[in-house]
Amino acid sequence: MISDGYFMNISPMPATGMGIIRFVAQVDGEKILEINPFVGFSYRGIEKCMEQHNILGGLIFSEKVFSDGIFQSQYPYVLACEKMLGLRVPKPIQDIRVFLIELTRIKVHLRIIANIATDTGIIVASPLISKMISRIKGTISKVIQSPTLSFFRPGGVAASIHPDTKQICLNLLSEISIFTQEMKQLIDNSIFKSRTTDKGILKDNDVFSFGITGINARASGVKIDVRKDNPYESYDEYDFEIPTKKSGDCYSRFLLRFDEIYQSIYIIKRIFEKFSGNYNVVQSTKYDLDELKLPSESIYQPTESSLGELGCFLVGNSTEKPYRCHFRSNGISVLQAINSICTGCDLTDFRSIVSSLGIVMTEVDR
Amino acid sequence: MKNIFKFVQNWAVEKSLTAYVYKDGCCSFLENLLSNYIQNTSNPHHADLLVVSGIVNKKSIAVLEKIYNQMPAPKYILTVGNCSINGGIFKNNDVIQLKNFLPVSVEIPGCPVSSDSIRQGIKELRNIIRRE
Repeated sequence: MISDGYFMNISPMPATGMGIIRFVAQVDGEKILEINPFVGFSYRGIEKCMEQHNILGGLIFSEKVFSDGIFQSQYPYVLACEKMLGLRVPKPIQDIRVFLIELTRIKVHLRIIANIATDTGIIVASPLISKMISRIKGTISKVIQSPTLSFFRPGGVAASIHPDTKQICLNLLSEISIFTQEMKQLIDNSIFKSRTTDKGILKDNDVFSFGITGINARASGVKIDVRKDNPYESYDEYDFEIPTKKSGDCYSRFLLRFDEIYQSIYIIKRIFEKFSGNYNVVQSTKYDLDELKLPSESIYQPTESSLGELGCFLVGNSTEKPYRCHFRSNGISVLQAINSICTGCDLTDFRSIVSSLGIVMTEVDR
Repeated sequence: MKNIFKFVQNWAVEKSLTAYVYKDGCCSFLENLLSNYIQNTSNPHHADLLVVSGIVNKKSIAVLEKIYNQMPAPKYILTVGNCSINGGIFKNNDVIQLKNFLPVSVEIPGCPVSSDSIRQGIKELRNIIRRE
């Protein structure tokens, strides 16, 4: 804990997407000597709520873990339930889920890029990216033909998708690939480089000692990706790459988000090579989720969200409600490491470092 | 004469509302919607309106009280979403009702809140300011 010196209270500060975080910094002039995060402002008891409801009721709460990427926060819970109950999901439905997850990944990466740009003084990028994000959101709601809330279900999805999904999505992807190149040219100038290069360096030792995953780990040279290491659904069929960088600073994390967007576009295009949108989804997902009982065993299901590894640990006791439910989020690991990342940095760089780390407080507190 | 001054003050406040948004929870689109009607600020000293979205718990109520005390009078509070009104789907947990601690002017219900109800809520808030 901080002993003495000049303290600076940086709060209440909205994190990348949602939620509130408070930092107390010990500073010498403009240099940060020590920084401590204070969490718990967004605590809602999501996991305890999920233990009081059946599988279908728990879905509503699992969305609130990371409500900017609803599909990504539902995904580990849905997969864990399927594993426990032994439900088989047809291949076309797995493809539908994977392409929706990848579209969400592009959306979240774009939002974080907008935040990094705004915090480094390039304000013009944010409204342009917001327009693109609302375009992606509109396409998702057009494709799934139902509310995005509770679209993923254990055993499948809630409704059939649009018959022209392939054409709609391919048009969107061509727009996104042009848009991202334009954004890269707009943001990646000499001023931006001087404000982000060699700032907020995360060492590879810290990655292992704090258990950091996702883009933050890959930017430091650690090649970790749940989609490759522990494949789930149909991810093992697509030979995508895992882009990595070595320096571990803000700039490399920024560039990696663009590389991840290109990989997501590649995965979706590979899906649509064999995909026909005329599959009858409703017929294949006819499980009565209100009456299914979870067997007395425990399961941990990790998934790769855009923020890092997001996993769900479930324990059943032969009733409809889970005995224990717990989420593993990447944000809490990053917050533990933030003292070693920011020590020695200037106060002016602090905001851009936090936004480049991609911390979402609703995922951390739950 | 006093009434005329009061009328002019209310008219000015109503037309130049500046909001401090305490965004905590899943109404993430809120800031974009509000910016159509009200200008935002990141400094509570410059704000007339405190907009609260998401749940309020034992830890965040202290922060909200500090923010509210920093705002200059006349000041108003607008709560957005079921979570900030009574906890919404989390009401069985340790969630606090904001109106028991601070004077809430207008509550906009909904989970999630629709753009129409936000417009209605801000219209009602402007009416309240005008009638004071």
